[in-house]
Amino acid sequence: MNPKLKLLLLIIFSTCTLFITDLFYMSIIFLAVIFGILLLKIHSKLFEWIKPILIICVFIVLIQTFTYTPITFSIEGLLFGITISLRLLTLLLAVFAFVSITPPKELLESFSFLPNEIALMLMLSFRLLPLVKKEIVGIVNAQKARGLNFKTPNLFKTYFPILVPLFAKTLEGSNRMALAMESRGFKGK
Amino acid sequence: MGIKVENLSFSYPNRNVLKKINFKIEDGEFVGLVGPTGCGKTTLAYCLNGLIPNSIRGKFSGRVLIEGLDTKKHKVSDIARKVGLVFQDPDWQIFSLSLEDEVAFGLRNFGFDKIKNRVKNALKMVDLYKFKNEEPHKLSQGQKQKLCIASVLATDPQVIILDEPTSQLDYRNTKNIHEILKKLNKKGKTILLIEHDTDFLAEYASKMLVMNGGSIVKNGKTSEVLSKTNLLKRLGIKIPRVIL
Repeated sequence: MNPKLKLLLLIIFSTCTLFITDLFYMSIIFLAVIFGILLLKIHSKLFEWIKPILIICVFIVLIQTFTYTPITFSIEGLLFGITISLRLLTLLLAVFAFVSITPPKELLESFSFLPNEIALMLMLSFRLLPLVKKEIVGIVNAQKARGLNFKTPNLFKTYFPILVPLFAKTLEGSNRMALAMESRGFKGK
Repeated sequence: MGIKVENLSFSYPNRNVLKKINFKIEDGEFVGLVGPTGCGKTTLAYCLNGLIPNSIRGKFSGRVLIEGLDTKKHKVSDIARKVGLVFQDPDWQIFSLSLEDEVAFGLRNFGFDKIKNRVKNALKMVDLYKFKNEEPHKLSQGQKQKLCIASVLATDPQVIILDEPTSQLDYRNTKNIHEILKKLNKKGKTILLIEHDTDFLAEYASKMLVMNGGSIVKNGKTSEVLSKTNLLKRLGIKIPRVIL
């Protein structure tokens, strides 16, 4: 399928989902998206991807249940919380499906209607993702080898030795990438 | 015309890097640049393709002429047509989503015609044409470095500067890159290679520059420079096997 058409369908689908307020219809759409994902056989990494979002959804349901009518449990709040959570999940799953079935090159082609600078910016962002991931793995392993304990309750102490070199390396690398682009005639316009 | 550097000094806002550098490289020469880590080799490479003083902040004095162009008076994009620079780490140079696009990037920027043909020739030269539609980040480190070289070759610059292109590569890939450089030099390209492998330089470089503390401490024919074993030892530069 044409990547631009895929992107258009995603936008239409997401917009429609935002207007649905009924739990019954929301559930049907949610199940339809799940069915689509299973049909496309792209569900292997789904749970890993969605785990942090499920935690957010639980919070949304709890907050809505106890704040819909202030500080008391309410069924309306519970149902409203579930509807919002399903909407969020449906939107994210649709994006997940779109990204999974669209190779990066096609993904960028779908943005080709954007001005050159923005399309290039998006391309660089995609390019940086695997690089940053590689750097994170390298830094985490290096710090583990030096005895960093990831099970301490002090998150600052755990992540500080990872974030500082990561920022330094990413900034240095981005600067080098900009120089490499410039030395190949890129003028930024 | 080649490269002419006269009284070049450069300092970053917090430290002096290059001090009164003078040398000349003729067209078609193969020159090796060696020196201990942090002596200013990469900064010198940036000066030779105009990134310094045009894009990198600092105090610049002296004159650098590349194929007759004064780097101070011309934009990086003008100088880049004459000088191709291959950086040390290929990961942070490659940004396109296919090998073809990566090589075509410079060609598009410079407004070349027959882009497809030039991309094909450049990729064939480094033996990567069969991967033309692949995503570059899936390549091995050696192949990525070859892709960076192809990207520079495609725009056909007279001078090619390579900043330790084999520092992350195994023996086989290093040999491979060296073979490519030899071929390019035979075709008349001027090569300036920043390299720690003095064995390769001993064999192929016609001239060598030795840097230390931001200055050129020795400049001359390769055999003459490499015979100064005391100097090389003092600077921690490997003495090639042919001398030992």
